[in-house]
Amino acid sequence: MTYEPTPQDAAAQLSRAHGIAARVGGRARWIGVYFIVFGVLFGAATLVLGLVQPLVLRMAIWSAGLVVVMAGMILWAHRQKAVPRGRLRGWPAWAGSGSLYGVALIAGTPALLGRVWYWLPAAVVVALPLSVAGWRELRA
Amino acid sequence: MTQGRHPRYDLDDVLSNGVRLSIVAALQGVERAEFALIRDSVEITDSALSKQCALLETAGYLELTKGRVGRRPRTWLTLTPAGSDALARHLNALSAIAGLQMADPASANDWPHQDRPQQDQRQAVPG
Repeated sequence: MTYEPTPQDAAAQLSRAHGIAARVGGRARWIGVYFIVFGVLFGAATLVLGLVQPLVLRMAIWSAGLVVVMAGMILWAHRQKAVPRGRLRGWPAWAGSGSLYGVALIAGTPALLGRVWYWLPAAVVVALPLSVAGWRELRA
Repeated sequence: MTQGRHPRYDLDDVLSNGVRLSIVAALQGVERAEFALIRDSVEITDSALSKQCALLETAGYLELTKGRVGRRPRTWLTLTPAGSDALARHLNALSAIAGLQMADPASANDWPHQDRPQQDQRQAVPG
């Protein structure tokens, strides 16, 4: 015989299904934090490359920071219990921050090295695409 | 849904079990989720979840992937496209059944039974 829930049963099952989907979906929101951290990392890398002197110290901070933060974030992401849908999720934000990072470096090096008025806004602009994408993920 | 057809015919037999519906619904919004997360979310034991996952896997609704994080073994559950379609159909059917009551509480008791003539069913299903 065909299973036949009452309208009340059906409504209760729907409510439970939506509740559980929301709970598990919420566990995939870590991707928002992931995007924001990488946005801030891009911005910080821009600042370090533009403002830190001398060259040796600049490259040491840049490479060590990049390796440590990236490794930490990749490990953290690997430990998450739910993976959000979409393997290419956030690619416009990655492309945006990456491109802006490249443009900021090309435009500012070497002529504007050490100029806070250039590197500080550049870092903010570089960090924006990923940070906004992350904020939107957290709010979704 | 065909007009005049009671939405209960669109309910999925596999998902008519509440635990299996919860498992599939839990996976609806994610690419994959760890076994332990689903177990805790659905609030069942490891063995009960394993049993239901095996049934869902046999039905083609679920894929199980084994992996490791460091030294710890992990099992990942992924909803297949067939599972996603079945869930959508099942939820639509449940919505239709629940919606009838909301649209017209008086008609909730007039749902035709399976063995009633088709004409009766058409009268009971709102436009």
